[in-house]
Amino acid sequence: MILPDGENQSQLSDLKGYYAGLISRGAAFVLDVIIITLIITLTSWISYVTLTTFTTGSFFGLSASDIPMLEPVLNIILKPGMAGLVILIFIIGYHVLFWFFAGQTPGKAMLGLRVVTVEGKRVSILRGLLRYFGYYLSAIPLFAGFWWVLIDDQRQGWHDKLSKTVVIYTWAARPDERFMVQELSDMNTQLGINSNNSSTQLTRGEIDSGD
Amino acid sequence: MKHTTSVVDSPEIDQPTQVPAHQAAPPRKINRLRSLTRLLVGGVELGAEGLLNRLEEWEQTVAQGKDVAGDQPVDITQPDLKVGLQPEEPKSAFDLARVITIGVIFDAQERLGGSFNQIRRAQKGINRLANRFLEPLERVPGIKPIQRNIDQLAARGEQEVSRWIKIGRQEETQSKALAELAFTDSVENYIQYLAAQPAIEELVEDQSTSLATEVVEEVRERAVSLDTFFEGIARAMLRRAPRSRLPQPPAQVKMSANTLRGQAEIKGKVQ
Repeated sequence: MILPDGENQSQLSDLKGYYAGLISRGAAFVLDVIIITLIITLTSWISYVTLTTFTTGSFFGLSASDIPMLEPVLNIILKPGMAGLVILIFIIGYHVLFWFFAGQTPGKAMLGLRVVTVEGKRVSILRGLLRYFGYYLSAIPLFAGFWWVLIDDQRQGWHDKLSKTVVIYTWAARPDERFMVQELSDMNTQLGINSNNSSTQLTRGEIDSGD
Repeated sequence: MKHTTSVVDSPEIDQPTQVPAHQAAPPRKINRLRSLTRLLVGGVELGAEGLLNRLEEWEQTVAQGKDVAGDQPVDITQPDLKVGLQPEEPKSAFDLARVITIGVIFDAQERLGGSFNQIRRAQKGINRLANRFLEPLERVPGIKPIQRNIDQLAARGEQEVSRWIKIGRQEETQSKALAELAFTDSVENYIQYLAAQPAIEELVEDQSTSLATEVVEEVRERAVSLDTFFEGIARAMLRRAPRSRLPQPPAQVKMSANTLRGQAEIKGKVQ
């Protein structure tokens, strides 16, 4: 089958550069959550131990009263809600800065995904902030904005629509040779997509254009 | 004749000398020839032991007609039997001569085994005959001193044999221990040598990296399979066109999978 770009189907062997699906993106998100949680937990514990030692006793011979201006700062840091704010800033910064500098958070990097604009450019800081707050928009109505990825033509969620971004595969993506082969083949048959009805064919079918 | 009755008292091995406390004890001298002999004897013993144990196992395998490459029993009537249980007909004079020689060797071995039994029986018979003839001579006067000398010689012979038995038992144990130690030590040294080789280190590193890469690839591939599967179901339920009929991403989007556009610009600004 000849594609509009002139590429022959047989020449294409993977989905590198194609839109990434919900499961890959969800797995990347879970990995990011784990990483963030570990960092926050570790930092919180260290901070708690240090601050408690400072305020109740001494730390390497120093106490809070020995350092000028420390007490006012501690009073601000230890206010209720301040820790939550710091954590929120950290989470926002984690996502936005990684999207800006690398196009991918560590979780997305492990799954071989990248966030780019619909023109294929880098995500700016502002666009990244918009995308991040779009997460809340996607999550509010029972995560409908995330489920939207399943049915969208560019596999965009509501946060992607808002910020005009897409998520693509950065590796030679292909389905597993043994995992769910039968299920994919059955689905091909039911949908009547390809005469050969193989899972690989279905995924390669993504690159076919409509006639 | 003074007999050496103990290996420990052997003059070949120097005893550690008593030295004053303020002087360091000299290193114990080792008889190299004796150590080498021990190593050889121990090596032969260990090797023979290991070989004999394995031999029994191999004979049983061959007797059961199993394929040496696996555990599947094979039909011995098959002409292309790997183990070679089916005898081949000699094709040339040379083959015939070879087969005859092999037959002679095995037949001679069988006959020799039988001959030893015959010799033992003959020896017993001769002993009985000799005793019958020699018994009356014991009563002859003047024969007693000769008999005493013979008895003394026999006693000395027995003593020598006992000494050899004692030496043999001690040396056998030591030889086996030495050979085992030599073998283990050599193997360990060789493994350490191999481990220190850069090529081996690289291979181990590559294997570790490959394993991690494989795991990551496996996870990614399964995620792609699930992406396709669930999307197919969702689109089918909502009667939307399958992904195969949708257009591809634009070229500039696909290109950004390789390099992030704008990165070079940022690098330029930083520099």
